[in-house]
Amino acid sequence: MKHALRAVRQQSHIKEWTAAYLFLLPALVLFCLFVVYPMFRGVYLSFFQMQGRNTTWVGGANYVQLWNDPVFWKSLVNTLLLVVGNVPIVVLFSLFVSYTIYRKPPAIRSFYRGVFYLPAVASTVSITVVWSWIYHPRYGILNYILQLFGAQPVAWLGDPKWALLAVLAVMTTVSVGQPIVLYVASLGNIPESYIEAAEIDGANTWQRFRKIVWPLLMPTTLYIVIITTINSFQVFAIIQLLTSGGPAYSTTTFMYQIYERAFQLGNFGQSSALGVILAVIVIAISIIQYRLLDTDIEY
Amino acid sequence: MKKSFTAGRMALALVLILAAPVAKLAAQSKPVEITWWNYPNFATVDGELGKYEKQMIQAFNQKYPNIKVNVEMISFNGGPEKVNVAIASNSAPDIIFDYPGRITDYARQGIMVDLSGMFSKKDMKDINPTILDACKYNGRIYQYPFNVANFMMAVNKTMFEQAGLSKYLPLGRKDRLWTTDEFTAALKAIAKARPDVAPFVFYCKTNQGDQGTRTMAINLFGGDVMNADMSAYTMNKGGPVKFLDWVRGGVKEGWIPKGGEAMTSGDAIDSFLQGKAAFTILYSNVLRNTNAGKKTVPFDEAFLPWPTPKGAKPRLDTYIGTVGIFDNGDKAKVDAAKKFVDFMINDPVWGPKNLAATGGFSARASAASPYSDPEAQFAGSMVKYTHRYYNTVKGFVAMRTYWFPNLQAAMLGLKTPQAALDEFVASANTTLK
Repeated sequence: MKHALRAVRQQSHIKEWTAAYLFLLPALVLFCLFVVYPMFRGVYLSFFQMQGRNTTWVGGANYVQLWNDPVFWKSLVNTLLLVVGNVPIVVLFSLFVSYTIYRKPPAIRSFYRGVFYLPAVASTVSITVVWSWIYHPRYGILNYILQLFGAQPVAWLGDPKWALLAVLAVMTTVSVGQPIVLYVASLGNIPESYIEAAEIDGANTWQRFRKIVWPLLMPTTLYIVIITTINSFQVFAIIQLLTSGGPAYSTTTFMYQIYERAFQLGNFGQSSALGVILAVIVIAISIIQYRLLDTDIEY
Repeated sequence: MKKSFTAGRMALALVLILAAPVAKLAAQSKPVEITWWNYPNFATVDGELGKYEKQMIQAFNQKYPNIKVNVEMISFNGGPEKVNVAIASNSAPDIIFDYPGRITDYARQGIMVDLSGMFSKKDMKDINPTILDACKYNGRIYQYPFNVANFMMAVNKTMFEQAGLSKYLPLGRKDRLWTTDEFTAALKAIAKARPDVAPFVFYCKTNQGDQGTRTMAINLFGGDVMNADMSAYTMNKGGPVKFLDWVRGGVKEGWIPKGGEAMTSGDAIDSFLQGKAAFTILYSNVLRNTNAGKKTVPFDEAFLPWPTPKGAKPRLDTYIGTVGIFDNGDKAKVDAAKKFVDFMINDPVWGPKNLAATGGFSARASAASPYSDPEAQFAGSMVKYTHRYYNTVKGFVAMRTYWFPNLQAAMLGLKTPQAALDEFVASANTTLK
């Protein structure tokens, strides 16, 4: 009897799992086809010189060439600068906005969420075209405002001192939308009783934020930091449309180099090697971030 | 028995004799579908990109109803990258209308069809040898030359007339030849009279239109892009170095606007057509034709050759429009593609019509110029100043990726002109190996 019941339970268990996997199958097939396979294929191609339809095994030669290429190192430095600049700004700014609006009436909260989320849903090309006109050295509104104050016009996209900052500004505007939405939701989930209890115990605003709100937001912060880091490492469209990696390589990044070497020079092997290096760096940084920011808090 | 055996053999022979042409006819009438990727080489009709091309295909289908041609328009901005991806993924189109700088590179990869058989001895004599050489790789012709046009400068004649500065332009001279000093004087004069416009836009943001800046660099103060046998680049000797000093001096003094590092050739031409720049350093009859719709203010423009040191003749870079056929391993598609290329270029009605739609001049000496307007006729007459064509050397595409960053470095003061050009030449020479 016992055995019969166990057998029935096992069969039903198998049926459930089979159904689950069958539901997952279409997404899994697409994931394997368009993510997993290209990933491994990219690693494989990084050991070949691939020009057009001609493929020749070169071993680690692509990696050696990159190691000796000053443009590779320049692109690495630029990429790290963008990450180091964008991630803290996005976290702090979106936290500031969320903390300011999360207790406001729903209509006002929704309005600000919508305004900041708009760049995330608008076309990157449209946004970049508008920004290129804002930054135009002769007809841009930014230089017009500067000249109103008596300052000299700046070649925002043509001066290496300013070009990377100009790119960073655009990146930040398109990055803050999602974190704000997430932080507002997370802040709403913090029990009011914790904050009220702290108030009664004499905690000031900063203490309440540091000891209660910030630790409870850690899971959301971890997610935002990791996603913003990955997105910052992968910035491409803004650079391609605004500066094409210039002037004088001052805004060239890893992703831009991957694009240039693959699609402009047809050097798919070297481009794949760059992709592998980028993946290793991003994985390493993500692990470090996870170790530093992970917490046992669950909502 | 013998009779029936002989009759049988005769019947079989008859069937075989009749079958061959029937099979050939069947093969010919078997529908073939080919893809044509086209840059904006023809004028737009009703403002719609690709409409002219579709009209051409309709006319072609009246002659060859079984060949379906799918035209896909690609942009110069991103189009070459799309072609590279298509080649790498074995999904290249059948036909491409581009220029030798890229098609020769494809031929070097062994993926273009040898078109030598399409040219008779008469054809070979009819086409300028320089143009034909540009279409060859290893002695074989891999692209069909269609239209040619010299790149030159252009000036907003109306702007100079309105400012009372027409005397600064060489429009009344034979071939409109002028010196670098005269050009500099014209720039300073228009900068003073019209501070709201750019005398000209010096661009070096990307490799788009970079042949303009290279040709300008070797004309204004002498020098050359490559040595005599095209085995090495020579842009770091003499004239080009002086040219970069001249540009930096112009930016400092204000008669060349700042910010060229962030401007493309498209920005330069757009500024000219919008009346915001007095000169454009990149223009041709083809560009005049294909950009006609972008002219936002009415003005008269005039072609001008490059200014040169006194006594020197200008050396003009040439645009050669060529059509290549990719070898995708399908003989029927290759044959169909050849028919379409032949129709596009040599059809008695559509050949001249297509030529006029490109704004270029025929690659054939026997073809009459389709243009009657004086500027087009002047542009056609300047073919005699065509400089040698170096766009087919090995690594030409890769070389272009070194030119504009070094120009930027020189313009921004990160390197001296000599150092920037030294670095360019060192990098460019590695692409020749």
